[in-house]
Amino acid sequence: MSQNSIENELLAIYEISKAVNSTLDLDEVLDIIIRETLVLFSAEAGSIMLEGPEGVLSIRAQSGLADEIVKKTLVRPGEGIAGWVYQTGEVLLLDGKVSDPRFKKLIDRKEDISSSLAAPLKSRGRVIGVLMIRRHSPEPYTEQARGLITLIADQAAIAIENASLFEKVVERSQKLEMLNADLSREKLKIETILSSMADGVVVTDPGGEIILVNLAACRILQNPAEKLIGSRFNDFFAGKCNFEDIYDSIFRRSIRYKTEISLMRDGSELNFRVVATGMRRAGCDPEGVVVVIQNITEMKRIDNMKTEFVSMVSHELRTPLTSIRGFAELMMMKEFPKERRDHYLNIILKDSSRLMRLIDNLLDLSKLESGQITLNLEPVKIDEFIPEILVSFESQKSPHRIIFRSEGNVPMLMLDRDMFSNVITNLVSNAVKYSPGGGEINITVSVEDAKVKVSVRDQGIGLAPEMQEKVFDKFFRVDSSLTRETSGTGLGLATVKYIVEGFGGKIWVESEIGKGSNFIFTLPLEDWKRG
Amino acid sequence: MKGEFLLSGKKVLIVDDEPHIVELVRVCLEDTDYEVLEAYDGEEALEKAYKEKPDLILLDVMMPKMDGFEVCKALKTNKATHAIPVVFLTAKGQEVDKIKGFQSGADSYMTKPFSPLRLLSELEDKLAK
Repeated sequence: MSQNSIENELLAIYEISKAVNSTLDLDEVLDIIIRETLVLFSAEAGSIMLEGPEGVLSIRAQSGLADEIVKKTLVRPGEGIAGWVYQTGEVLLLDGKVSDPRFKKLIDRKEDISSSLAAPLKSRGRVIGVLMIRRHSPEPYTEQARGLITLIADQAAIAIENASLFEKVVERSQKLEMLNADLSREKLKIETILSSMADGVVVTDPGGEIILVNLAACRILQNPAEKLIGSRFNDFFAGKCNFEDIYDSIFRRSIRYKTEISLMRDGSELNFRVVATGMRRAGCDPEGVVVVIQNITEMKRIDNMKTEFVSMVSHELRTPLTSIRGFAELMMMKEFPKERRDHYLNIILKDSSRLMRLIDNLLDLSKLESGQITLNLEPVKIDEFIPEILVSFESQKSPHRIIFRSEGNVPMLMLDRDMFSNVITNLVSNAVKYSPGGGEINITVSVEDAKVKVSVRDQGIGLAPEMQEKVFDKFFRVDSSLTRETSGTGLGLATVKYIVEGFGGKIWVESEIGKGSNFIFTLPLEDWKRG
Repeated sequence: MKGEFLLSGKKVLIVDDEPHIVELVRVCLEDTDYEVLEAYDGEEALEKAYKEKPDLILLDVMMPKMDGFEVCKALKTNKATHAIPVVFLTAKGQEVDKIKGFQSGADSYMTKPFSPLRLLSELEDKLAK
């Protein structure tokens, strides 16, 4: 072999190995291999056939072949030259003169082949394809060509292996990406659920170190997540809730942990229910604890209010009943002079009406609260209606001057006359009741910011600031010697508030001890349509 | 009828914020020889108890300013008044209320509505001790 041809060989091998190492695009690599091989072996046509899924070879890269041949070529093991190499895994040197019986068919066909060179592509000892070239020149390939083509075929096999590995890597990373996306979607879902929860969630590791908290937990524990995570669970519960007890209950005694604790927050005591569950996969060691903290302060308050309400109702019912029954029994037991008898009968009557009134008020309120009252809505000009309601107060002998005033143009409102009358009557009789010294009671109607504002102002005893919200509670009575004489049921303002709020309005009181109270309510112009 | 009562001349303090109830108890006791005193809230009750040293106090629970339980506690923890028997007469009839009443130091607990005869015998009983 000449110096020149050795140089050419080296150059071709270099080009091929450079291509194999520089790109992972299999078609590109195989095209370079074919091109360089054809040049090196002075051949006119060449192809690389690769094994398909059913063990049949098809052309993957080629040069110098007609398209229809490329399309229809499918080689089974043992069929033709390529099939023989595929089956045996050996390199084949073939020239037109060799009358090899294995390829008799081809020779008979007198195909335009003078010389053929075919080498197997091997990956881990297995044949995965065939590199084949042909040339018209009858000059046969030398034994030296056998070594060279093997070298090239090996490079091609490496390229194919690299490419398929690369494909697998790409496939796997795509799968991972999808999994990752799924995971982050799941994570987002859980984070959204956690952060929108009203209950606090604290997750710890099995040693009691906090590893996750939600927004509500940060609020309850009054610390940012960065501070909580990594800290000891026990440090944030003021000794009221102990991680060791939780762990013991869940993992040693297998009992769901549940307790109620109170924590001081901004100067007031809040109640929390703490429920803990263990994180443990079947047969594994504990992985941590999930603690849910629920603020039950409001629940407890409502519960206490209910108990209080029942107790108040019971008291308010029993008190008049006691005097009714007591005086009746006494009158059965002994004779009283007529004057005293009449007096006791009068007490019985008074206390019966008190009972009646209480029961009526209770029923009204419960109907209002359960929405059972049917409202009879009609257009009413309240600046004309209020004076009508106030007429009933004129007949009463009282040292009060009741003054009505209307400011501006008060539009027609859709309302239930009885309900509205109930509100005004209650407010005005309270004003009378709690200004024993008399004075003015001013009822003013005005329009402000698309709202109708009604104010009932007296010059009476007034309310201490801490009383001003409580007056609207059921059965709340202002502590005063007046309560003994006043005959309220303690439900009037609760009913008024319910009616006003039921119509989308607001009610409040402005007051100063000794100077009088101003009860104000507003009704929205547009919403005053339906309860 | 006066002669039938062995415990004449005793002072009974009635504490209730309801005038009708005070009047009722007064009428119940009018055939006895007891001297009847009245108080309409907790503070007034304590005041009268110190001043008048009654032989028995009939005490309501739900009253303005200071409820009956507090009044009873104050009476029972004061040397001058701790020996005075306290009988609750109240609309609060639940078991928890009775327990609260006895915890505050009450000697007896009666619920409203009450029978006048039962009240009389209860008072007699407590005054005899």
